[in-house]
Amino acid sequence: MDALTFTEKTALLNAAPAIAAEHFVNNVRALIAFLSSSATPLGYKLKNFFGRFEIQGRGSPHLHSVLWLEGAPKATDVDGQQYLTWIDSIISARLPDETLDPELHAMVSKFQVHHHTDSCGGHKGDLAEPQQVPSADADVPCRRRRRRRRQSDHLSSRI
Amino acid sequence: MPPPAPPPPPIRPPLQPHLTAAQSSETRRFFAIQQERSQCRFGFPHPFAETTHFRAGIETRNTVKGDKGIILRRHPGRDQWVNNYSPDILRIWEANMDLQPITEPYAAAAYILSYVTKNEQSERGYVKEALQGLKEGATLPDVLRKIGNAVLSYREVSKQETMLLLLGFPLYISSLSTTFVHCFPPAQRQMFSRPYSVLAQQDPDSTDVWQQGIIEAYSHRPAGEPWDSMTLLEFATWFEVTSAAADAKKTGGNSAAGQEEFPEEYEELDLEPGPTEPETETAPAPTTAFERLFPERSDAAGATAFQQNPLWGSAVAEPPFSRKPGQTTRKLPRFALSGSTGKLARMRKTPRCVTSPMSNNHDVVTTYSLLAMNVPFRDELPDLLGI
Repeated sequence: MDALTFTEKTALLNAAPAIAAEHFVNNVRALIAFLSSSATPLGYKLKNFFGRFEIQGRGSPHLHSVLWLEGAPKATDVDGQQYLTWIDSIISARLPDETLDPELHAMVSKFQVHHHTDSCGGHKGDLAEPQQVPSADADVPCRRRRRRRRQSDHLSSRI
Repeated sequence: MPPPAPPPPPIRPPLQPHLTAAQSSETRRFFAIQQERSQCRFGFPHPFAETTHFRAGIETRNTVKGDKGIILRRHPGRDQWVNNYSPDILRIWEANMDLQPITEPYAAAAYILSYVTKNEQSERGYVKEALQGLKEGATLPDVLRKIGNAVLSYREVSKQETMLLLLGFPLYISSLSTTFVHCFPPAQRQMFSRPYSVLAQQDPDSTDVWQQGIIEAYSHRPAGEPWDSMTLLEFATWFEVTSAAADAKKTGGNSAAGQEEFPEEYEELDLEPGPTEPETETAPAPTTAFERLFPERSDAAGATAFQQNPLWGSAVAEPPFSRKPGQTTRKLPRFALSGSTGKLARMRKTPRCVTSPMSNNHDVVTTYSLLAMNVPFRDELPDLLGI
């Protein structure tokens, strides 16, 4: 997959949208199973969840979801510190050290680092740290589709 | 000991240096961040922070969508461009994510409204516009066609989304299922007519043409506690209506009679036929409402296997009935409904969320809905309205 260029990936997606859609749904199901598992990656038992599949006009499927964790500390507790400690243990916004955890470093660089694009409106702003990691998608054509995104960002539903 | 220093001269010092000292660094930082963030709708670059902390003071003034409550630890530099993630999940998910801790009920509500459910407001205007171009005397199908075309031509649907729909994948995924109760006053209520095959056999003058729903079943629930104080909301949460014949068929009983009137495939999982316990002793005379009302035909063990759950009402997950101590039956309790022949209320294994409509412009209708959902009744109009 990594060897493919953006254009090639797009062509593949266009050729087999059904497979892509099903793959995403399966991925989400697997993720939910992982989150509900006894491994409790979020620290507490997943009691309930609700998720909403959404596909942007630009074609990337994603899931918005709310997760209820049983027995987790509350931010409104008197001692909010316990909550913060727990949040720190499960949620991170750090780019891990490349030498200590090269695998995670690569993943965070690849998936979690934000690059301003036309669609986020950030190009005009501060570009102190642009394009930290050269991406495989460097050949992305100009995607000035803000109007279309606005139209199709809200959801399909109604079936 | 030197004498105490004389009080400072009562000259008013110039204001500006003090103001600058007190405010400018904060203010400048605030405007700098504001300026930076106003560009990118995701709020990148995020502010750096020494520790994870609750958003406080001036920080509350420059929130972007979904960035409320907490500021995560980020060191200056590259961290500011990293989206919130969970290391464990990222290793498995291998794709982008944005994890947001929810700190308070309001934040949960705001999140749900802005992401999980989204309105179709913009589409509405388009439909309205299309409808204005309708000709005089347009028929209902014309209107429908117009609306349909407007919706279809407005929304751009990607290939993948089309595929999700065509392949029948759900657009929602949830640990809880919901059940819909239309609890408007009878005159405004949406009802289904009975199937034609049934109507054809009825007396042509009969007015009994509507499919019986959950409200009718609720009205015909058994007598005694906990039924008397059970509201429609609780009933819909915990019970589903099925015909005796369909129930028997599902549980492997007498399958000769009847068809399923409430096909609910997803309930298959809930129904684990327990071992059929041979009835050896003569059944005791019914002493509780439960025993009296439990249909002896469907399972005799059930009649004595359940009791009213003492914890009923104390928590959402507490069912109205629980197994008696020492009972091991895995069947769920079933109750015959009066009035409608052969209908059963079967308790669900897990409760459901109940959704009901609200009327935007009729206070009376909305009030009635609330009453109907939350006040126990048997005969709705006399009991709720006194008419």
